[in-house]
Order: sequence, then structure tokens, then C-alpha cells
Amino acid sequence: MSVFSDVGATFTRWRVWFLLGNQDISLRYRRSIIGPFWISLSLGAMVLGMGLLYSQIFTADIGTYLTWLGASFLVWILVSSMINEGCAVAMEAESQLRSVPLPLPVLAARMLHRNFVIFLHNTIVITVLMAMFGYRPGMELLYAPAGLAVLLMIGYFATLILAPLCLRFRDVPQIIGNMLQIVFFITPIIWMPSQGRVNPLIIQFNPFHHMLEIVRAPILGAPPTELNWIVTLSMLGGLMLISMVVLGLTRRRIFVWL
Amino acid sequence: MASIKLDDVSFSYPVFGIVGRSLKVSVMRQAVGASLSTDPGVVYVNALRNISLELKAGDRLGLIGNNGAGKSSLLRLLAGLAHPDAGTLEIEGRVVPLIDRGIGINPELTGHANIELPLRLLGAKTAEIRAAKEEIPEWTGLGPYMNMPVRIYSDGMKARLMFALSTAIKADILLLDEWIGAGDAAFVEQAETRLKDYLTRTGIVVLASHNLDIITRVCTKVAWMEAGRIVSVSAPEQTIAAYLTATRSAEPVPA
Repeated sequence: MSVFSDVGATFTRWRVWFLLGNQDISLRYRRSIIGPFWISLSLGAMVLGMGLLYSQIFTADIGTYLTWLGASFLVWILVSSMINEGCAVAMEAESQLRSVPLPLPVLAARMLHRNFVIFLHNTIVITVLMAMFGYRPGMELLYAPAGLAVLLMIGYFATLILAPLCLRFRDVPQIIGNMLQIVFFITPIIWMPSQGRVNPLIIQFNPFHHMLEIVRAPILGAPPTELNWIVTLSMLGGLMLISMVVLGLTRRRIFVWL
Repeated sequence: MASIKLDDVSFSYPVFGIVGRSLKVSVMRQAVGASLSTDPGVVYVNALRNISLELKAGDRLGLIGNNGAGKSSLLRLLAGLAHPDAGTLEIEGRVVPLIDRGIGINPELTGHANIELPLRLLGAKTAEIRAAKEEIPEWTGLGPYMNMPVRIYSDGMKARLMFALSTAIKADILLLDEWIGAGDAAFVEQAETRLKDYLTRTGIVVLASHNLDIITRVCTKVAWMEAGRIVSVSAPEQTIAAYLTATRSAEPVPA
């Protein structure tokens, strides 16, 4: 029993997180007709509404702006959900954690699985919406899965740090949630960096911008920049190291912190 | 093959007040100094003290004692849910913890759909799950109800399903918090037969219970626990008799 066997359980006990994740998704949409597309359609409606209005506020071309907004929201929702839900991963599994041994990495994978499935549903709706406004994907799109893989791994290791912290200190999820709200406004999501009036340093020093770019840029027709990869891969490396330390320190205390 | 060895094991757990759970408050205390408030925020309960115990295949240990004696804490340590603060704990064999039955059951899903996840959570392998998927519907006698959501089951039907799940996979070490019960008369008999058969195929059984009758019938030895310590371990009749004498002669709380 160790940190490495806990992480290894992600592979050996994959069916546990796969089944739990599937249940999470089906529970959200039980007895609804269109199922998971429910959330995707409301996302689509929001992007459409905001796109129509804000393109006028920013005096931008509706097609350009709407595809920007769609791609931004698509990736942002994945990132912010992973972080917010990552905080709650241990607390939501309290009844199972009290009864059977269940390593934290397995719970992190469960959270990633359900967010990934929702991401796929959102992709379909957003792509259709963007296509209606003239979007056509290019070959650069092939970079997107790599960026997505990096994002999911960032979510996984960040969860291994956040979940025990939030389990022990119950005000942290709120703090994280508030921080993410601020991040939402200071990161180019609603506004495009090319609109020029913002100091580029604010954008480039924001790790969330780079996290969004490694998936968004390929969608919008450009490969991610070197800087995007440097920042995100460094984050990933740092999170991996810190998470192994945190997991080692906290794994024996999870039960008593429930 | 199955064996359990505890050597001078101690375990305590924190009980958090609202203040104890706040990061903001904890940080401020560090900065300002903890003497400002009388509220400690965290209280530690010494659940187990210097527990030493050895069990081998064929042992069926009953844990008896008043509430708060440490029976549940000991079970949780054996299950690998909690870890000792001091001492060593060596366990060999596959542990099936039946501390909380009904884990993994999703009431929105059908009986059939509710077989795999509970068993996976208990550590079952694919072959065992395949066998269980055939055997459980037949044994529980739930018939067409297996295709309906568990949400509509009566308590007795739920009990049958949970019982069948609990006895579906072979265990080297079985941990039980209270005996498996409930259900109609015909089921109880059927259940007892299956359970007895299941226990003969299990290496070590540790059963915590307040039902002294069950303990006498099922267990080969009994440990009497009090305030986190094991007072004595010996044959069921002896230990239970000693326990009853001690509790009956306990002084009533003065009015």
C-alpha cells in the first residue's frame, strides 16, 4: 500500500471509476428525454445569446466572435468544472469511503470521466452552432486531442491536491470557487485578446489562458504556441510532483477527515 | 493463508467543530497565537489503545462491548479504511468489509444493473461478477423485479438483494458490523443456510455485534472491548458471561 499503488489503482480498478462516472451522468439526466444534451443545449443557447449581444458591444464580426466564444466556453467549462468538482471528489464519496477502501486517484478519474463525457456532448452542440456561423475546422484541429490530454492530466493531479485539502478544510471549496470567478473575467474568454486594449503581459502570465489555448487554438485554426506548451507542461510537471507529496502525506488521514 | 496480526496498535481520530474545519481560522490562529480562543476546534478521541491480537484461518472472532468501546474502529482498521497511529498491523488475505451493506446500490437502476458496482467496490474480479450475475437473480427469487428499479423494492426485497451481494464473493477475511438480518420468515431460513455455507468457505470472520446470542452461535472466540482496550479474549461463553456480570453490576448513575 503506497502512493504508487493508489495511483496504480486508476488502472487496475478502472471499472470502478468508469461505472461510478457513468452513474453520475445518468443520474443527472434521469427521466429526461434528451439526456446529457440537456446541458449542452443550454450552453449552446447561452453562447448564441451572448454571441449576438456581445459581438455588437465589442463591434466584432458575429461569425468570428461567436466561434471564439463557443470554443472558449467549451474549454473553460471543462477546466472550471474539473477544478470545482475536483475539490468535492472526496466529500461526495463519503458514504463509500466510510465502508470500503477507495483510493483518491480512482475518485479523481471518476470525476474526469464524467467531465470528459459532458465535454464530448458540448463539443457536438457547440460545433453545430459554430458551423451555422461559418466555422470550418482545419487540419490544426489534430492538435486538440493532445491539448485535451494535457488538460485532463492537469485536472487529475490538481484533484489529488485539492480533494484532501478541501476535505480537511471545508471553506476551501468556496475560496477556490471565488478565485475561479475572478479568473473567468481576467482571462480572455468573453473578450478576445486581439481587441488590443489589454496589456499582453496580463494575458501571457495567466496560466489559465495557456490551458485554454492548447485546446482552443487548434479548434480556431492555429496550433498552440511554444509558450502555451511550456506553461501547461510545466504546470503538469509541478502538479505531478506536488500531488505525489500531498497524496503521501494525506492518504492515511482521508478516513478520519470525512 | 488468511491471517491477522495486530501488535500494540493505537488509533485516535479527530472530531472537528465548525471552527476546526476552517482554513481561514487555522491560518489566523497560527499568525496570532492559539491562546485567544477557548474553542479548540478539534478534539481527539482515543478509539483504540495498545491492541494486540492474532487471528488465523478458522477463527471466528466476536467483538462485544458497550458503545464507544472501539469495535467499529477496530473493524475499520482491519478493513484498511483507517490506519494505526502506533503499532503494527499485518493482514494477509483478501478482506471483504461488510461494514455498511447497500454500498454502491443506485436506487434508480434495475436489480440487474445493481450487481456489478457493489461487487466491484468490494474488490470482485470479472469472473466472479459474471458468476454473480447469473446466480443472484436465481437465488434471491426476485424474478421480474430484477428488471425494475430498486427504488420500488420493498425493504425485504432490498434486504434480499443486499444479502445476496454480500455473500457473493469469496473472502479470506470477512468483517461484519452487526449480523445480516431482516426479511420474511422463509427468507431468513434460506439466508441462514447460505450464510453458514458462506462462512465455512471464509478464512477469518470478525463480527462486531450487540446480539450476544448470534455471537455465541457463530463465533469461536470473543473479544470484550472497553474504552479502546481489549479486556479479554477467550471462548464465547466465558467472555460473554464475564461481560454480562460486569455490565449488570455496574453502578447506576447517581440522580
